[in-house]
Amino acid sequence: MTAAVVRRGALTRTKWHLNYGKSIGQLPLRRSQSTFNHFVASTKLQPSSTPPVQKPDAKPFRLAVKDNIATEEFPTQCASGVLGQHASPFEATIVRQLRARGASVVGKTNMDEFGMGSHSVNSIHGPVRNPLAPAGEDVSAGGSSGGSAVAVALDDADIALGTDTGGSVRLPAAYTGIVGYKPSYGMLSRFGVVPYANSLDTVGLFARDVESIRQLVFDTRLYEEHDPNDPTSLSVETRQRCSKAVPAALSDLSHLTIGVPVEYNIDELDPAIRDTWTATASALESQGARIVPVSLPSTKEALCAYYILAPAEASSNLAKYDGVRYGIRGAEGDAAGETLYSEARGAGFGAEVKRRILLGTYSLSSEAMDNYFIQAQKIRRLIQQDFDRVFKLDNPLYEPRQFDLSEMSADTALEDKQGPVQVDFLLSPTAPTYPPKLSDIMKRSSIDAYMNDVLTVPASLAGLPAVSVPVKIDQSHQFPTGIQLIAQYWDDRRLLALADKVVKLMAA
Amino acid sequence: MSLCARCRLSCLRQNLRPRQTTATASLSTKSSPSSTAHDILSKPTWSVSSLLPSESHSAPEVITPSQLHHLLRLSALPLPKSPAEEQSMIATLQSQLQFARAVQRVDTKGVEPLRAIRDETEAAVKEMTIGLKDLEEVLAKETLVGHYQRPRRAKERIESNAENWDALATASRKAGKYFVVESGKKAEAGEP
Repeated sequence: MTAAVVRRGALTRTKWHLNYGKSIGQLPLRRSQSTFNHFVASTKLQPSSTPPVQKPDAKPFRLAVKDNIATEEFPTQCASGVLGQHASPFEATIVRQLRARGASVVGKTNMDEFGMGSHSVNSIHGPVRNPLAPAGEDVSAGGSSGGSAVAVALDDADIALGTDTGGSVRLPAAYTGIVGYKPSYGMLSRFGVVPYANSLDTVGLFARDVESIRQLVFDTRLYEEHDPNDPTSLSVETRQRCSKAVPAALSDLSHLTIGVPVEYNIDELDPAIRDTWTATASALESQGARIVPVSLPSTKEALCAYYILAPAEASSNLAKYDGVRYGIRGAEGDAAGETLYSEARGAGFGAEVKRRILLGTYSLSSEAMDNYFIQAQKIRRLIQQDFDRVFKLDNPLYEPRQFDLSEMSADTALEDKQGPVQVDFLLSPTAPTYPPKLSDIMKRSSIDAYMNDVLTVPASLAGLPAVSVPVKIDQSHQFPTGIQLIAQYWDDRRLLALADKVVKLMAA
Repeated sequence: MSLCARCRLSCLRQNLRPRQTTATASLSTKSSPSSTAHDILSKPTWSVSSLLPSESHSAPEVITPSQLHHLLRLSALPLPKSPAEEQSMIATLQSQLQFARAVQRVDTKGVEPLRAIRDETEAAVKEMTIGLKDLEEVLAKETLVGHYQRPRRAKERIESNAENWDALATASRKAGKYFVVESGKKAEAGEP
């Protein structure tokens, strides 16, 4: 099957090259060459602008960048056939910000095409392989930022940039045994990041320890920087207001309440992952934290809402790829197919991207709009309210809201006469299973693959910060378990502090 | 003991946040450290497979071939090349829709759709509102024109870096300062 996977990749390449070899014009596309296929082979470009001015406290480090984030030194291809060796005329703000902090970009990393996937297999460069797998076995590295995760796991980079739309940073971090952090929506600039689903996309960070991420985002004050080029980047005033609304430092564990969301305990959860989850909660409890069950009833519909919203936004975002202004165009002329540009798009986009564009087009069509797209946005509101209800902190993006008990589900357990218990953080696994074999993934339908995101999409829909950390309680097990922590909006600093504690506690 | 529904509701309504939780914190910590988490997680609460099409009893959303073609045209994607491909595209879309349909079982009456995550506090709305103060500079430049002395905005060229780049640099085909779209069919167009 492995051979089949590789051959399939090779076939697509050959066919694609035959059809469009002539129109590429610039540089020949090459297969990424490494055992784990995590870096995208590309020719270094001559930067057109001067490098950013280094900050006085800049410390040199190696940065790997997901291939949907624009860099000046390397092409930006999104693992897609439509972009070719596209050389971005500008660099993403986040890359410039990190370069000013001492980063040197070591390469662009392989991914699922445009971020659409959970295993980094939907790529024109072929699938990314997990370095933790036993020799000779091809196992998923998670996705869509799989290449970035592997680059950090193998020490090819100190920090890697990924994007997290529905779990694309946390999932590969969990599968490869490293730390993956998805910040609050709107904290890190997305200028220069190829959009997939604008209302969900965030830039995320990978590292081998939590401390490096915390230092980079908070000690160098990255979280305070507003980017006027990104309309979703929070204003300076909002950042200050939000920062005032959340505690600056994590208190002692004995003052913390940590919620275990019962809806995250699904049938499909691997028993060993459930054991690790239980062990982590118990360890925190033994250190004085209060562990309580919490209910987030809308979790069950979150996955469906996500798979309506994300493809709908994608179908709109991906409409611009026609090959006229940049990227690859059809050799037969733009009007060769039924619709203008359709042949170029059909040959350039991979199967999963086409499936999602079609689904998105349907849910935005006039007869389905209300029943699918708008309904999903309403579910999204319910998910956000679920979270706001269980967190002690108010959501700083809204005026403080009171929740009427009569609005809550009747089976919500009450803490006392005043209502259900409220928590500082939520603790859950990141993925329901350990990384599957690539050969098994190929056998599954696209919907089966969507199931993998069930524990990560709710935080994305609510725009909340979340982090996945590796925890291993059974040393004989091949893979560590990804444990996910979720916090209220803009409570990122305390979230990372707690994540660091969890890692140290479970390693001891 | 029972309370009438109205009394219960009003009783519940009084008990809203914000509130203190410290007083009752000792209640559930009495149990042994390992048991709390274990108790909570002993039983799975639901199965994701309940969302899968095969488990659902409702009739599938029917997509006709002509509907599929319409969607493909809207998406600027090529039409299926064979009836088999057409069938498989329809089957995929239908199974996706059946999965997505779970959102429709939730009662969302009166729920405001969440369209974007952004600052919606009163302070933010105030900051975003453009007032007379923001326009002062521009208004001061206006000149009064004509018999009725109507204010007219002074025209000035704004230099912006956003336009200082070669938009054609990445285009594979161009004609002078224009992009080229080959909109003619191959037969009639011919190579330029």
